[in-house]
This record gives sequence, C-alpha cells and structure tokens, in this order.
Amino acid sequence: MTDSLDRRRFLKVLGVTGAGAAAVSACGIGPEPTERLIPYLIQPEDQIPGTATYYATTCRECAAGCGVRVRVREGRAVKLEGNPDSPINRGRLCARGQAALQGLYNPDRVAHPMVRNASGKFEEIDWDGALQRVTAKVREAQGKGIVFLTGAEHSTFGDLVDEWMKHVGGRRLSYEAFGFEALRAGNRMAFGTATLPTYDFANAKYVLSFGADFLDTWLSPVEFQNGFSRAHAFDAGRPASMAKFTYVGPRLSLTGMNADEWIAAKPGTEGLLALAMAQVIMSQHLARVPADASKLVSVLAMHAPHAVSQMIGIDEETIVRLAREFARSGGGLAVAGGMATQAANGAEIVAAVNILNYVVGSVGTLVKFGADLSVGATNTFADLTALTADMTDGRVALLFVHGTNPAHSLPGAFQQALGKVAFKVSFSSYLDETAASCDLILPDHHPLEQWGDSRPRAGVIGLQQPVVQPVFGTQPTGDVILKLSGRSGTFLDYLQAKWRARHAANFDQYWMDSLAKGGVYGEAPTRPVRLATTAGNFTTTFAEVPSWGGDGDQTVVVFPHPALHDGRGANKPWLQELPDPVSKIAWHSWVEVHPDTAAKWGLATGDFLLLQSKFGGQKFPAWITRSVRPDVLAVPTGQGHSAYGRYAKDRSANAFELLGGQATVYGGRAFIVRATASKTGEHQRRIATIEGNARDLGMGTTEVLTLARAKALHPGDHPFHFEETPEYAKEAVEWWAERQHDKAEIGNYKGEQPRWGLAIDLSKCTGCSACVTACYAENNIATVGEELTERRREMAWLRLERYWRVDEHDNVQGAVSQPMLCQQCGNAPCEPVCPVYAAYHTPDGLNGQVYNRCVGTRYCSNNCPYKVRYFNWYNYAEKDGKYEAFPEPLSMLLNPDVTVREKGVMEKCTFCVQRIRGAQNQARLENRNVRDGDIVTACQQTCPSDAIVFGDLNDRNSRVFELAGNPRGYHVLAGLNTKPAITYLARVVAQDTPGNG
Amino acid sequence: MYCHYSAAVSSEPGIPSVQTCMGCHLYVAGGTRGGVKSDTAAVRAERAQVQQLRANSRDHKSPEWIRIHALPGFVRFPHMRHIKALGTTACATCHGDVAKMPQVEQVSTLRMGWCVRCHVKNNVTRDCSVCHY
Repeated sequence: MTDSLDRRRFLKVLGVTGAGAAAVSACGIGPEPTERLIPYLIQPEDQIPGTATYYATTCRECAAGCGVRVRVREGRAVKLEGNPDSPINRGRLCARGQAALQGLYNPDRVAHPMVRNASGKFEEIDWDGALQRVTAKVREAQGKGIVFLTGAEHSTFGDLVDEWMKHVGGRRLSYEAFGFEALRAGNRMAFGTATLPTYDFANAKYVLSFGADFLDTWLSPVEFQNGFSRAHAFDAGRPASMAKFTYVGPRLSLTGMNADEWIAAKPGTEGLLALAMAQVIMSQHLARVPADASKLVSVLAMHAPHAVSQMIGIDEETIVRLAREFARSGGGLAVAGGMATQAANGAEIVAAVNILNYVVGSVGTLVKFGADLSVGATNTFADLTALTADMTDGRVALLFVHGTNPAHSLPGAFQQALGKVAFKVSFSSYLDETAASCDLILPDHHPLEQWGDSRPRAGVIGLQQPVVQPVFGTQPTGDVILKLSGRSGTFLDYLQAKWRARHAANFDQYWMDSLAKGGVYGEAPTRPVRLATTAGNFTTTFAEVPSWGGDGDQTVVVFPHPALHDGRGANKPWLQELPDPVSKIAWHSWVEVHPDTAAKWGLATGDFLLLQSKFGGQKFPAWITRSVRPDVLAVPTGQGHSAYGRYAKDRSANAFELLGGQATVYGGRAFIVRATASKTGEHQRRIATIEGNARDLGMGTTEVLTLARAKALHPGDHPFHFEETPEYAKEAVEWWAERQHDKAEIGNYKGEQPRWGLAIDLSKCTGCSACVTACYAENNIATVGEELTERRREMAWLRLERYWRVDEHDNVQGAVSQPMLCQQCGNAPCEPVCPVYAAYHTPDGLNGQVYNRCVGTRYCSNNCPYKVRYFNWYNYAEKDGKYEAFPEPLSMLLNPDVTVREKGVMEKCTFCVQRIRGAQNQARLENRNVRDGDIVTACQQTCPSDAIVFGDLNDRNSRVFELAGNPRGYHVLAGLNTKPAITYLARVVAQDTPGNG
Repeated sequence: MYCHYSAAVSSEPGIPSVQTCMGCHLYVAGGTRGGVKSDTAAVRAERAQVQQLRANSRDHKSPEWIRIHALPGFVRFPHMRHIKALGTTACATCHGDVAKMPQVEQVSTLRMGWCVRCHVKNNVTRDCSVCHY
C-alpha cells in the first residue's frame, strides 16, 4: 500500500466523479439556525455556566438512607453520585439510586392536583380548592376512622404526620412490601429485642447467608456490599486473605451468585441447618461459646446433623464441614432473610441463625444491636391486613397514602377494601395503582425537590435538600399538612425547629455544616444482648417443611427484583432496560425452571407458564436455568402494573397476584406459595435478554483461581494461558500497530503522554450492575425499549457478562460477573477499517470516536472482537420519534458535557473522556499535572465494591499501574494481540474446585 | 473580566446579566466614543441601544441577543484553556476589537482549519478527541 493512493483519497475521488464537485467542497460550518441568547436579569450567585454545582442530599429510593451528591448543571440535576461523607454508602451508589433522576424528570409525573369528578375521571383542580376539600373531609371523618399510610418514614416528616394524626384523632401506619417481620420476631425470640442490628461484613472472616440477599435488597445493600468486598475480595497482603462466602437458599439470587459455595437446602429447612451447625460447634468445642449458651444443649441435640440431614437434603459430612469452617474462621457472620424466612417458620429460622451467631461469639462484634435500623420499625404485614379488614368493614372513613403502593403489592384484598373507604387522598407523584383508585391526588415533590431528613439507623440523620426548582406544579406534602393543621410556616421551618431542638448552640453554622456534609453521622453504641428465655422454644412445626399456603403441586418462590424491587422502579426506563444480574432479562418478568423439570414438561426458554395459586394466577415466560432447585419455581416481583406510567403499565405479570393476604404467625407475609403450573402454548419468540447474544464472548474470557493457587502467586507470575498470535499474522499486526502510533504522534507535542487504563477486579465485582446505570446517566445513553432489546439493539456501553461456575459434579456453585466495555486497545482492530478516520487512536491511549466524522459503515463494530461498539439504528433523541428515549422532561437529565448521538453514528465507551478532559483543564488552570485519583470514571465512582480503578498506566505510582502488574491480571482475548488497556484480575474462589460453566 | 465573567474559569464565557450591564450603563449613555460629541446618526443609534437596555432593565424583560460566534454542536471549545494560554487580553485574537465595533461582527472564520493553524503555530495538541467528544 503506497501513500499516494490511500483509502481516504480513493473515496474522495470516487465521491467527486460520482456526485460532482459539490460533494467534496461541502465541509466545514454550514448555515446554522440563528441562536438567541437570553441573559439573566440578576445573576444567581452559586452558578457558573459550564461548571457544575454539587448538593448533598439523601437518596429515598429504598429505606437504607444512603447519602448522595447531586451534580447540578444550570439548574438541572444531571447525575447522582454517592456522598463520601456518609458512613452508610461511603461515596457509592446502587443502580436504583442512580435511577432516581428518572423519577424526578419522569414524563408521567402528576403535574398538579387532580380530583375525581362526577363521571369518575380525574380532572385538574387548583391547590386551594383541593385543600379546602381535604379540610372538609377531615372534619367529616373525625371519629369515623382516619388513617395515614406511609412507606418506611422514620424522619421529621413522619413525626409531622404522627402529630397531625394525633391532632385529628387518626393514626399512621407505615408499610413496606418487603418488611422484615421475620427478622424482628426472630430477634425477639432469640435475644428479647425486636430491633434490627447492623452487620459488620468488612471484618467478617466467613460469611454464611441463609437466603439473605445482602447484595440485592436486604436492609442496606450498598453498605453491606462495600463491607463484603473488603472481607471477600482476594488480597494477597492479608494473613487470612479472603473470607469464604457460603449461600444457603433455593435459588441463586445476585447475592447467591457471588458465593464460593451454594448449599441448596430444601426450602424451609434452613433453620435446621443452622441449629445442626450450632450443635456441631458446641459439642466439638470448635469456638469459645458464651456460657449461657449451655442452656440450649438439649434443643441443639435434637437437631444434630444425623437427625436433620435427610430433611434438609444435605449430607452429614457437609454439615459438619460447614460448621468447622464457620467456627474455625474466627469471625463467622451468619445472616438470615429473604427467601429463607418467607413462610410460617420464618421467625424461627431467624432465631436459629441468631443462635448460630451467638455460639461463635459474633453477637456484639459482627452483629451489632443498638443500630436499630429504621426499616425494622415499620408496621408489620399483620397490621396492614388488620387495616384492610377495617377498611372493608367501613371503619375507615378517610385514608391518606404517601410513598407506598399497596394496591400493587396487595392486588386483591386492598384494592377491594379501598372501594369501601369513603374518601381517599393520595400524595403520590405518579399515577400508580393506589393513586388511580383514590378520589383526590395532591402530588408531592420528588425527594430531590424538597426539604426533609431521614433517620435510617441510630446515630445517622441524613439531611435532604432541594437540588433543583420544582419541575411541576406540585407541593411538598409537609407544607400541605402544616396548612391542613392550621399551622403557619413551611416544612423547612418545621424541620429547622426540630433540628434546633437537638442542637441550639450556634445553629446557623451547624445547619450549614450539616447541609454541606449531607447530614449528621454518628455511631450508635453497641447494645450488648444475651440469649432470651425464649431462645430455644422452637415449635414442632419448625422441623417440618412448611406446607406453604395454597394448593397445587409446585413450590413457587416470589423474590424481589433487584432493580424494580416491589414495583417502584418499573416507571424508570434505565431500570427496565437494565438486564437482571442473574437472568439477564430486561423489560419482563420470568419464571425460573430447572432443566430437569423443564425436560419433564417439555418446556423451552420463552414458553409461557401459567402459575395458578389459591389466590390468583399469572403467566410468566420460562427461563431454564440450573441456578434454581429442581423442585422450586421462582418469579420476580416488579412488573405487571395496571397503571404507573408508560414504562410500567401493562407490562408482563404481577407476581404479587400469586400471594395470599393472610399474615403468618409472626405478622409477616408468606412469599412462598403452592401453585399449579401449566403450559399455555404461548411462546415468546425472544425474551429481551443479553444472554446468548452475538456479543456474548463465551468461555475462556473469565479466569478463576482457587484460593490456594492465588495465595501461591508471586509478582511476575503468569498463571494464565493464552494463544499466541500465529507467525504469519505477527508481522502484519505489528506493522499496523507501529503505523497507528506514528499517526498518533501527529497530535503529540512535548513530554510523554499518559496512557489511560482500567483495572477491573473480578474478585470484587458482584454483578450488581450499578456501573451500567451510572454509565447510562453519565453518557446520555439511549434506552431502546423492549422490542429493540429483543432485536439486540441495546446501547449499553458497559455490559455485565455472567458465566456460571460449576463444581466437579457439574452442579452450579455460583457465577462470575465480568464487566465488558471498550478495551481501548493499543492495537485496535476497529481503527484500520474506518474509512473516514472517525475511529482512531488518541495520543493518550484512548480509542477515540469522533461522532461528527462517522458515516455509519459499521465496519468498526464488525471488526471488534469484544463486540463493544454500538450503532444508533434509530434516532433515539428525536422528539416524538418512534423510539424516543428522552421524552420531555426526561431530556433534562442529559449530561451537557457529552454529545447526544443521532441516527447513523457509532458509539462506545470513551473512558468518560469528558471527565478526563475536565480534569486536564482543571489541572492546567491550577498549573499542575493531573494526579492519580483526579479522574474517576462514572462506573468506578459508583461501584459499591470498588472493583474498577482508572488511571494512567504510564504513571508508575498510580493504583492502576500496580494492579495491571498483579499476577492475577490478564487481558481478555489476549491472543488476538489487541493490547487492551483494561486489565482484569481473576476471580479467586475459596473452594477447591472452581470451573467455568 | 467584568462582562463575560466565566471565560477564564469555564468553557462557557457567560452572558452578562442585565444587572451587570446596568453596572455601567446606568451612567454611560453612549454616543461619546473617543470624545466625539457631535449628533451624528451613528451616535444617535448608539444612544438608542443603551436606552433599549435601560428599558429592559426597568421592565424586567431580558433582551434577546443574537448569537454571532456560534460553533456547531459537535465542537467543544474550552474558553478557559485558551485564556490561560493566551492571556486575558487575547480576546481580540479571535473576536477582533469588539470595543471599537458599533455592532459585533464575526471577523474570523471559526472553521476547523483556522483553529488547527493556530494550534500548529503554537505547537499544541491537534488530537481530535480534545475538541470532538
């Protein structure tokens, strides 16, 4: 190939002879529409156009109360990041927290008060008129039953509601669809206190989870994931080097996937396993057992391994081995919850696990009472069924609902009971099922638009402040209640008065400091607990596998979807498009079926199964997987809404319909039910999933090491085999690489350029997918919708590939999640094939993508071996377009630092080049070089496990340089000689036989 | 920089608010450039502009400036880097001597070739991804 006729000139000549001279000369700045600039009348003080202002507030997407910092550009919130000052999330944020922006700018928000008119339809009403009506109704309803229903609301707002209810003679109930009644009752049974402790995962030496999905939705997932990562990630420097994680449960949730070992005990028998382990520990003196545990000896003896092993379905040796591992670790932490505690014996299972913790001395050290997690103070499901009964019997004349959607999670009973309440008022920001059944809607501000606080646990008060002006004509419910109770002032005044009562001295300074930090963060002292007298009082039914509610021959487990949870995330397209970490299915629910069961029924993935319990029936497409027990079917919640906006409505099926409305003996809800399963004959041609994609890289791209092997590695070792480039290809590949670097030198000037690189530690990555949503938020990535996801048109620049791990008997033990993104190859296959030089190599080591040069040949994506390039097949940004991804006002969350791509343009991960350039600009302004840690990519910033590290590979003092040289490090598809800038560190498994499956 | 206040710290130069304009134009009525006091059409035109501005401020109505220097959406131009490199008096290099213009006009082509020529002359980066990302 000579220089006189290269590719570009060839095409140019072709263009001229083909289309005429105009084609070649028409470049540069064409006629642009005239822009008008409208200045402020008065300049706002804290805004500099083009730069961001950050405000600290508290995330309200779940009850954990993580602190967030909101990046505000020109009065619009564009990104949420964790607040490093908060001891709960320490600067990290999960996918649900990232998606809060889509709740703020959701196109289906209720914009103004609405009242149901005579013909039953909602019509607009002004605020004064609405408040007059409510005042009248309150007067009417006094003495006839007034109830205010909230979500988990341990806050000043909750206090205000309590005060108002006392004033009008009503009462408040707080309802969470996944309450922790079993935990509370189990703690009361074992220790005499119904409060919830906090768990110190970071200092655990062995983690044993009985169904508790502490990485998905259990209590405080971001906090626990952060701590778990410290304990469980492989660190050659530590003497114990990693804590083993064993998961006991009927299906592998996201949490279960990260286990080193999966114990698939029969559902309902997890408590027996805990007691058997405790018995072994005590009888074989494997730990320093507290003295008062001796009173349990006889109870434990009844549950010795030989007595229970058949009931559990686990052999004796395994039980004894687990007990030994747990006790000998010197820091065993057992947690119970989720699927293990969802039937009539749930509280007793928790008590059994409590005893196991107690026996090894973890209560008080790793299990710390005194934290009093506020989610443990909500009303129980039994209280809610009592309320439903009251409503049905006409004992509630006036109902207020705020921050909860019981009509979705209690479809039958509550919906009907609502009909018997004389007047219902909803404060919901969205027209969800409950609001759709109410008579009056007084839409609340979004949490990002209003003042408030939150007390997630003792010692921590997260402060909440408005970060943007209200988007719609809503009003904060706190203000509304103050008006209704005839008090003057706004909710801010009320909030400040409460804060002043706590700390009057120098209040203004104290308030400003708290606002800047995002709250007040203290440690509650650990309360010592002892075994209660009721600790060993297991009922006879405890030992029997529960019969579950309902008839039917199949056991169906209903579990919370990690992103959609109890359905509240369904109206946010980022969460709908996020493939579930376990099943990789998006925009849809599914039912998990074991291959053996599927073979019996002649079922294929995609066949619809009708699950019919005593309480209701729903259709779900089957997903055949080995990550569930053969005798169990599992369905997620979250979908199946009959209202709640365009992204949620009439989509898939509502798993709550299968469940009953009766409370268990400890006041909780049974999420396991018996049902019949029958094929409907329908088949979903393709489920919207990223599994089985053309992009799936397949086996050999993740490396797993056993703990013993990992410990034996020395710096400079290369334990992984990769294929060598064949001789005939070597010269061609090296020649091209040199030419690329020569071309890159054109842009170079003085000094050595950085080479940006990433290190991803697979031992830390749990697959939680927070990074995926953060990338969507930071880089204006379009959500394509269900139809296009089925057609493999998803745009996620960062995807998580999940590879199952199997043991020597081919049983699934867990999975490895591998984030796959543009590797910014040093020898990129995509660069030589671009005819217009849109894909090229930058001097600082990035594979650049210049959107305005791209003509859309898609050859680069064709050539990419990692398949990390994504093409805009449609105009996702077009207003009112068919696949519009940002309908107003959702377009307000777009990041102004990142180009919004239009149809015909290729895009891919840029290592957050806007952040790199921003940091370089800042460094230049401050007359210094960029320091390691100045640039944090969006994925790195949000990862609760700190699995991703970005930096300059040419800087020998950087974190990423050190990690890239780690003997556990490898490149994906290294044999292709692409020289990627991303080093993956192999997953280390604390088990003898890891494999790839 | 009093008017375009954020040009030295941000990629955006910042449009002065009406309050900023009135900081001077409450007193400066215009039309006396260079000491000329004669009542020409040009002087009258200039005075009318200032009167318009004062009316805007009085009526609390922002003026709608017509943008003269507009780069297309696929270019990201960081003002602060250029001011840092060339100094705060270097505005005229690209924008011409605005102080002497009766009405602002574009004196440079602002095309990419023109940008790159200056970059080459000053031996700074010509990397595409510095401006196009």
